[in-house]
Amino acid sequence: MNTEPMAAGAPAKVSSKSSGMDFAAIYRKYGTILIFVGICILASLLSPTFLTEANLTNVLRQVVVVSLLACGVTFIIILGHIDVSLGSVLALCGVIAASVMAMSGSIILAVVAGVTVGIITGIINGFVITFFRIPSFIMTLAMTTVARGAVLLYTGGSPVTGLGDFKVIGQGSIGPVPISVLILAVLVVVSWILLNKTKFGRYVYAVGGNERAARASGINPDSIIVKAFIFNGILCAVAGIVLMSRINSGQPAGGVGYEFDAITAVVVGGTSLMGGTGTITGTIIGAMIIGVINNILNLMNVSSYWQQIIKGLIIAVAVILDVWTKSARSKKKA
Amino acid sequence: MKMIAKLALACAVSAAALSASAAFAADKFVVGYANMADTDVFVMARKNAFIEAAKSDPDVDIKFTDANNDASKQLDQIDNLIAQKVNVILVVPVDYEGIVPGVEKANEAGIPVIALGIQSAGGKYTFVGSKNIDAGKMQAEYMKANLPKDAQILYLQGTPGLYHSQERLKGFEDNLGRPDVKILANLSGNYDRAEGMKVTEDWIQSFPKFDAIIAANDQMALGAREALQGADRLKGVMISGVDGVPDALNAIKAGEMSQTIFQNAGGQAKAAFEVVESIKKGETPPAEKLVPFESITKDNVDQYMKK
Repeated sequence: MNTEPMAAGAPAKVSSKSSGMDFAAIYRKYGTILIFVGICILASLLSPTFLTEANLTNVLRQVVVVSLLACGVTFIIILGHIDVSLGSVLALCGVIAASVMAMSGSIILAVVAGVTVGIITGIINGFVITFFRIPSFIMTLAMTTVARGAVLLYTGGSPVTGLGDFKVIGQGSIGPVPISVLILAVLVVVSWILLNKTKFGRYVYAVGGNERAARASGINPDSIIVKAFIFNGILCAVAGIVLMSRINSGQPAGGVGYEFDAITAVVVGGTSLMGGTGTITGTIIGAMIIGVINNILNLMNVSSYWQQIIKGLIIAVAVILDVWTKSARSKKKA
Repeated sequence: MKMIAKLALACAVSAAALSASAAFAADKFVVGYANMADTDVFVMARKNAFIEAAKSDPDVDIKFTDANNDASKQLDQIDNLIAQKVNVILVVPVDYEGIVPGVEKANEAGIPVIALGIQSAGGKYTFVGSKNIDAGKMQAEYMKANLPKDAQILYLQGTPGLYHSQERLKGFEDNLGRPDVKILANLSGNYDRAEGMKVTEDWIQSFPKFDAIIAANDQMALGAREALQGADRLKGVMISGVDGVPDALNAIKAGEMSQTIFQNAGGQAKAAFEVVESIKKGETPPAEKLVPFESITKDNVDQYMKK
């Protein structure tokens, strides 16, 4: 990465072939942010409302839940694993928190209950995957149906209502800044520090890059994987609490399909599904890109059918760019 | 080889289970209840009401399946019910068209079919429920009478591609009958509270003024209420939903919603059970047994809250 001084320098002097590779290098470094800026410019041209302060706060508020999920699952994906149970674990934690809120009237108890459930699901996911050597896709798929079943069983299929002050978390603001956005900001910083400034973070990259080599150098990959799933579970729980508080009711059917939005954000943000690489900043920009696209499509009243197609195309383009820039880089190294 | 052995074992076990339940079914009148999705609040309330109604007859046994909104899964489940030789199949179709092969198969097997809540596009069956087009019509009638002149309104559509979403929208559009009223936008909130809220938040940004949000169910209507409240725009905006869930009734009572269309879960379940009983007695079931929707507004909300 550090051996590319000419990447941003003088593309005019080099041949067209290698300037393509330079583009790849630039894209790898600044691609997602360029795409984000591009989409924002496009959005502000398409709709005069887009750049208003009210709308931007709106977008921020809307991306909180998926961004929280995406931060947690970034660790999992860097490890070369996957978690498809995010949406239903979110619903389980959120509904448990909501019902504790309805029973006790205490926000603190509600949050503690929700986060505890998140930690438990994280431990179960991580333990089964590492102890029984089960592919994480299969285990978390199982967790998807178990968690959804558990939340339906718990609520009998009806939403939990009568939540009192609970909606402060998702709807309240301190000054002009929504509380949910503050929660996200704190957890993004925590995630970033964990991944970039701690031994745990370095081990996550090492295990994701090459599990055998990591093991040979004295790292215990299983413990790293379990810890990552626990952290991911905590973020799922916070996401669930924010969502349920935002809609002011515990919805057992909530969060369906959110795992795909979160994984999309991570991939659009430049993290490779192969593991080993990825950043929290990329993930957050990825989530913002998706949030802005959702927002602008709604502002322009684009029909739901087209919205689905457009979102699918964006994922495809992001993955193609990922693969293409990577192959350009390896060609350059050779 | 190992895989084949495992498969064979699985087949043997399920065959044994099937024959065991068939033997068990011999002394009782068995209803196969193929539900659309246990995650759906209304559908679940109706299922519970049916269980309650069925308690009156100890000779009736119910087998439940849950298709989780997947039409092809529901067809498999109906196949299983036919294989178990249940006496009646009661289905809440995931899809109007998608259910037809299941109904036809049951017809061939000589098992009477009751479609609960949603019709089937084909086959022979008894429809028990309310006509979704009427829900849209009742919303339209309320809006027609109460909207100010040159009103601007928004429609929150149910999950696209589902028959009842289309019917509710069509019922609304066909009966509004107010050329001065402009429908500013029509987007889907997938019957989900969070999505209804998100779409409404975006609308609040796009449209400086609107007079009503018509939602295809109460969850989206309640999501719209949260968004409007959050932006301090609730005043002067009428919100209408469908289902009559307790939360919506409370919102109407508090003046935060204008209308909901009550789909009588208990009434439908009771009517469906009456059809089951008549089939049990050997009578020919009717082609349909309608349980009309009821419009709830602040004028009559009290009588529904007692229920």
